[in-house]
Amino acid sequence: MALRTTQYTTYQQVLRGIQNNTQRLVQAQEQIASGRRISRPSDDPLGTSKSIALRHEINGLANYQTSVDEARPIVESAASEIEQASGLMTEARALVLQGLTGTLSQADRNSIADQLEEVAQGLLGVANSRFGDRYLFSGTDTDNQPFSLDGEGPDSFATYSGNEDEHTVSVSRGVGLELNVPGNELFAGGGYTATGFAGLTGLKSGITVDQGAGFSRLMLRADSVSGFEEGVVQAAGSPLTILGDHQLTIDAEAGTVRLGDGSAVAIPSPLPDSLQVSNGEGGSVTLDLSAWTGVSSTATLTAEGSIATNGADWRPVQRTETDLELVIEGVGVIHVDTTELSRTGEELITFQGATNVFDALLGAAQDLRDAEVVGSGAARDRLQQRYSELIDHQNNTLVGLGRLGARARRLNETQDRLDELSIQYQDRLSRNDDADLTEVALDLTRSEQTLQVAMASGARLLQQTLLNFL
Amino acid sequence: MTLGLNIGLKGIQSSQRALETLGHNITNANTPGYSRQTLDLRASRPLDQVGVVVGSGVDAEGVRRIADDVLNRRLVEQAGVVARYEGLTEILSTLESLFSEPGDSGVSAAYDSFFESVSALASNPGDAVLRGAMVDAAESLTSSFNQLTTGISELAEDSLAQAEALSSGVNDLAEQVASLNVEIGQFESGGGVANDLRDQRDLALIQLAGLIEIDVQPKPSGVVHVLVEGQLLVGSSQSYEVNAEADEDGVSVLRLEGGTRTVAPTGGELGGIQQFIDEILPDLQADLEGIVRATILEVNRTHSVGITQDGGFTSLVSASVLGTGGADALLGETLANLNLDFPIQDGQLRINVSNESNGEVVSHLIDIDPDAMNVAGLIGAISDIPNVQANLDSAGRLSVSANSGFRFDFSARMDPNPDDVGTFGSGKASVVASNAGPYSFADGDTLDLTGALGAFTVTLNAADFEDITAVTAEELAAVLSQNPLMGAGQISATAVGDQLVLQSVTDGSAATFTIDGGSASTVLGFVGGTTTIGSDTPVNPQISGTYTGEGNHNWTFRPSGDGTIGSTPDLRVEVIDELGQAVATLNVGDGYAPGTDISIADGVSVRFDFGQISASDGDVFHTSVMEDSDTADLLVAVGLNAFFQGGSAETFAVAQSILDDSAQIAASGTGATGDNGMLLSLLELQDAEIGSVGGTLTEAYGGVVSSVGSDVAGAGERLATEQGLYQSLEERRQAVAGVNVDEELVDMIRFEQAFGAAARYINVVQELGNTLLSLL
Repeated sequence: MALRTTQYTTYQQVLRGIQNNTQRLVQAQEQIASGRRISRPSDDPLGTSKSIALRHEINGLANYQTSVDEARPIVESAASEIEQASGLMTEARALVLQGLTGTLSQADRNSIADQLEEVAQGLLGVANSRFGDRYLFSGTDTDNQPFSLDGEGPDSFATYSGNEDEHTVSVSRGVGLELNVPGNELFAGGGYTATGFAGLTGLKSGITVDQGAGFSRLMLRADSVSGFEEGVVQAAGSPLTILGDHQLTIDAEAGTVRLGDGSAVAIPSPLPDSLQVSNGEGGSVTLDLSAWTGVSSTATLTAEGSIATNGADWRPVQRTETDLELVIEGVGVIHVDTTELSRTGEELITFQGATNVFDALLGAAQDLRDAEVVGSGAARDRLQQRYSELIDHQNNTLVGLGRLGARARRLNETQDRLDELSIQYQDRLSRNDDADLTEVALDLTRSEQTLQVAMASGARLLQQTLLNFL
Repeated sequence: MTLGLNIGLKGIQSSQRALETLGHNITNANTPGYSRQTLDLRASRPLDQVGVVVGSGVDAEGVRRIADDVLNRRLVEQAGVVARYEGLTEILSTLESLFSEPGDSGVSAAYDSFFESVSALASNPGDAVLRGAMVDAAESLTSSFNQLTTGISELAEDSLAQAEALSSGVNDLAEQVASLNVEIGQFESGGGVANDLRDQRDLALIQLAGLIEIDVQPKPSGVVHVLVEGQLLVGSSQSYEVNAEADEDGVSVLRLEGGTRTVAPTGGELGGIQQFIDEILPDLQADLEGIVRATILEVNRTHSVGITQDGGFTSLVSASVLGTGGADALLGETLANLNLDFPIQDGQLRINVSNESNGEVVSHLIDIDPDAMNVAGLIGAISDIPNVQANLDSAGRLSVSANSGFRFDFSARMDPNPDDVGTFGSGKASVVASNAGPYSFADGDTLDLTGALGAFTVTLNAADFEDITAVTAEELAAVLSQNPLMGAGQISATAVGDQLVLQSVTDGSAATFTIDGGSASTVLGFVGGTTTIGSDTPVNPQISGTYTGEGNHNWTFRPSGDGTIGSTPDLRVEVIDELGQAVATLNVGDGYAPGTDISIADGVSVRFDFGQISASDGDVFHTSVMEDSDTADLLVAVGLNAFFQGGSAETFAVAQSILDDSAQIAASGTGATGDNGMLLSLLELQDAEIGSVGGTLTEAYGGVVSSVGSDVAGAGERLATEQGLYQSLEERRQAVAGVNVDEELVDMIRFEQAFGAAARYINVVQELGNTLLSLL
């Protein structure tokens, strides 16, 4: 049975219809005005928590983006400083090579030394460069100047006072990126894993491991030479720079004399009492040929010598030692193999351990200044040593540059990825939070129409009463 | 004739009555609660006119109210349900607006900006402006939480005030029902039906049900009894007052006049409020509380083991007052009595002391058992650490300070130079006892040594030890160190772990001594005739990296044999943890370049310089790697080096020391200005699953917001459904009891016509009479 209707029911129904439709209209209007689908959590509880999570993600991405933005200039400026450092090292290498030229006067060497010192100062400036108020190359100890020169003049040496830590920033979830390369790896990363010998005298490293740090030298001299044949003797009081066994070949037919693999020297006439012959390694002996019998001979000269660590305390050296222990006062203990000893001179020794580029440059400058005192040969050896060190250091800076370059690339890639992710998340947030305007506009129109229809039909319905006809 | 007139009169009268009734209906068409009435007509008792039964007209039986009492009762019930959800929806809508979510001004945005500020500072930890920004962001996080919870508490108070106001409404309506009961009883005792009074009472009952859940029981005499949770609210002639009063917990409850139990209505608007106060509010507050506490705990755990940019603390004062229970009070009890926000655990606290002049860091571990250690014990344990003092300040707070030239911190940073003692290829000649303490000696045991001045014998006296049969390595070292013969022989004694170490006083290859034997050396495990020589090149093990493994461990490093770092073939260093499990075996012999890092495990590396190590001399060193340097949570509990203070959403605040000086942010994990170790750990927190809140902090908070939203949406939907049901019940009531004016108009015409017809009938009867009379 159909329910009995009353005026009250009709009024209620019309009223409800109008109210419902008005409410829908207002809701659509609210969404259009705010542009948002969710204005309060109850609009879509799940959507709200999704919205919070998405906003959290987007904020996180923004943090990472900020980190990347902040990191990039630091990495880039560090890279450009290192490039500059590498340029300075190239310049220094050229200067050292120039210094190796034999034809230089001491004045020229001094001028090169001045330039090297300037380069060292320039390099020190680069190594102590800052970004804002933080030192770029002092690890995480960014308040402290990483490199300083201590000591005066020839004794000055550089020390690293930063730490070896890397400053990490988060560039995406769980992914850190190191911003810096600690200065000690860039400028003080050179070093020797075993004791090095310049190789002038044929001394080699002994069996036992040595103890010591930095540079030192061993001096070798020849005390006597024996084994001459056919009336040839060593010229009295003449310098002798060979050690060990060397062949002396006298060719009477050709009228030449030759030491080892050295070039043949013509025997002048009359027979000299002082003729210097040298071998390929620069070892030489001065012969007194005045009593030569004129017969060809191949003699084995044997030169015996002494070794000293400080130029004063000489001790005879046997050429059979494979592990001769020498104590170098204030430096350490070294073990040498003397079996291949071939000439006298000053052997430059580098102990295992770290070296830095500033010491190498300042050392090279000092070597150039000292060339006259220590003899050009020794200075040359040292310079060559410094040169190879410089190459090591430059390699270190290039490795550092490569690492920073890789980081800069990673920063760029990360930034691209973060941008992309950020857009994706923004898009998802927008789809979650924002009102779909077309849909809402349609809703709005629909609600409007329904409301109008409801009002029109209500108005007509309410007018219908028997009273109108009574 | 008379009968005819009489019939006509009754006809006129009944039509008039009917018209009056429908007039009453029409005029009450819009009266709330009104039930239409109808006049019951009945043919009068017929008269027996000499064998012919003749009808005697119409009788108006009475005015009947058309109502369905069952339907009315259901309406009363439904009104209660609707009102409950109305009340709840209203409160919850206010509640959800307090969250300002989703948006950029709520707590979740404050979380995000806090972590944003941490991230910014991590990019440049030395920057004072960014540090200030982090403090600001932290403050806005705490204040947005404070505001939210204050808003929620205020809403709860307002709701309770509203409940009190509503209870007085209940009393008014109950009184009204009671007086209607009396009137209806009196009226109906005369046999009639109090139509309009019943309508009024039904309406009052619906209104009453809208306030509080009621049970209506009709009684035969026409009265109704109204019960609230089984207690009488309205009797036959009397109502009982509902009063809001405070219970023993100070919470406002409702109690009926004379009632023994409190009333917790589940229906009506009061029921909605009750549901909010009893069900939704406690869960919500507990959830928010949990999130705040997790935030404080986790941030403080991370921050308290961080180091300020100046490399450590010179002094720190705890936020909590520890001196209340006296120095002898057990820590656990003292802290429990203090109602500390966070409990203290059985665990360890690490304190690192760094020497400002040489950067040397010495780490110490303090065992903390809250049920065994008293306040004085804690102070003593801290003060036992060289160069650090602890005491209670005048206010009874724990104060820790370092000697001038020293700083301290609580970080898990690794000791970069773990071989402080010098028992691992150091410059000193050293021999580690192969047996571990405690050692069992006999009085008069001897140790024969040859030192700088020749051979000598040390004799152990029982009097020097607490118990000579159980002498710890430390105890023995202390006794030996005091022996003048040892001093003269240039030999010192110390302890590494629980092993005794004999060492030359001087460094270098000239330092040497020999263990010749003796009964004590057998106990210690020394081999008689062992000569040991110092070295010019100490191995100097250095630890670097950041430990990423789980748990706290103590690693022991021992060489596999005797040899030279970087040179001896197959020379290895074995690393074992405190349980004897192998951690790593490091090749340090031929092929290892001295001075380069070798990775051990879990992000930790070690490097050895060139030098000799010796298994036969018992070379050993220990280093601790820690995931958490405060497993006791002491720092968090007492508020040392805290970032946040408080323990609830209301008291949640940035620690005063940080507010006073943003340089107190312990951003560094190592003490270096540019280090951001603590900040990176803090950043990990934003994505860390926290067990107590069941997710990350933002997820947990999002969950709370979402559940509030669900509650609002759920209550709203429920309201709509219940309203629909009420509407349909109301429609059905209308269908039965409502006035249809058109219907009444039709009836009006009907009775108008009936009236006319009856009058016409009287006229005819009269004419009939006249006709008869005219015959006379």
